[in-house]
Amino acid sequence: MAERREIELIPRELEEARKQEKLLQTARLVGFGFLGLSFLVIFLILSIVGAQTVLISNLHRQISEKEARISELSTVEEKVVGLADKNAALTQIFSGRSYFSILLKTLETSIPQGIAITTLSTSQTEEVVALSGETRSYGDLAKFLRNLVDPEKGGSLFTQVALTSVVLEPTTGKAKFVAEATTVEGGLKKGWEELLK
Amino acid sequence: MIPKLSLPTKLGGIFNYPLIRGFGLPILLIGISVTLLLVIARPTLGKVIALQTERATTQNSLSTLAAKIEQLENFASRSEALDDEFKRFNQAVPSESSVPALLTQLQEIANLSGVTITAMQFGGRDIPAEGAAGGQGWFEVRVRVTLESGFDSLLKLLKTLETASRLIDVESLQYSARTSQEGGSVLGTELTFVSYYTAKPVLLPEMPITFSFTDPSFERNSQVLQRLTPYETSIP
Repeated sequence: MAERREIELIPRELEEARKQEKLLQTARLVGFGFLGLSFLVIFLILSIVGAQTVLISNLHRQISEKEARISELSTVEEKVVGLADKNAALTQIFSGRSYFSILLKTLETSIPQGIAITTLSTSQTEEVVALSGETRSYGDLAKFLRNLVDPEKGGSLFTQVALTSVVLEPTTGKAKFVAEATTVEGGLKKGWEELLK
Repeated sequence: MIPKLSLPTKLGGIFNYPLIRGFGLPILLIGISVTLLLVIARPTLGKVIALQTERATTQNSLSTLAAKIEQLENFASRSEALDDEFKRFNQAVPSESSVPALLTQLQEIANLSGVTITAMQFGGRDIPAEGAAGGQGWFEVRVRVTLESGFDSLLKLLKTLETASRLIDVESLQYSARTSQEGGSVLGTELTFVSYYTAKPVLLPEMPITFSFTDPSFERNSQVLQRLTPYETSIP
């Protein structure tokens, strides 16, 4: 049987050239595609930048308008901000305020007949009240010292009292004394309930 | 006659290579694309991110301003209440040291209490920077007063001061008793008073309004102030 062989009608070189041409076309297409894509990306990015810039510019314009409106309301704002500042200050001032009338009132209720307070010294930052006075009777002095820490009298304000010195003056027959009374912490302050009475 | 331009022989030789002749253009195009992306797109992309951040910040500022305008317009619609409250609070803690008014008020209260002021000395004040709150949020002004009175009058003075609408606190108290010519006891008292004031506020558009009429501390302070007695002082 005779062997049948395929006859190659297209020469090998021509086929190779066609393949090469096709590859080149694809490569050119990829090259141009890539370039086109790059332009597209750049265009998109620049468009976004443009749009954002316009948007921001618009927002700045709106901010200027709002600021102008706030400026129109500056009288109201000054009062509101001032009120807020004063309110904050008052809250602290009321909390830390010492009412010295409490001290004098408490002292008044603790001084028995026969005792004269000649000097008194205290300050907002001190817890000790320095007192000096005179009496004709040691019994009255003892009563005064007791009264100062008696819960019914001075004890609501004073936690302790210390007699520093007692000197009897023979010419007048009076005993001069010096004492220090320690106040309870926050004893001169008033709570909110008391302030709102 | 137009001269014929030709590449140098060596360079021309390169372009004669079939690979360069064939794939040169695609490679060149890809190169140009990459260069364009690196030179234009990449830095601009950074700008896009920066612009987005700026936009968000600007948007926030706008929202803050819008909210502030709404609050201020709300306060403006209640201007009468705002004026009343401001007047009351400003009486307690004024926006200026108002030393002459303070001294006049002290003198008036002393007269009402039956004490005699023998000396009154302005003891200085904190000088606030423009619009700045002090370390405590307020500033102080001090007055040293020497007076003569009986014990009851001194007690009355202190009580009156404690209920006066302009806040005046006692910082220190010293007295010594002496016998008067009539034989009664007279107290010679030295008092250091301290009063307060706030600085005028600095208004910044973007500073939010945190104050509200319904703030419990404000309501409480307002109620306390309503219980205090105003002493109108007129300075000639």
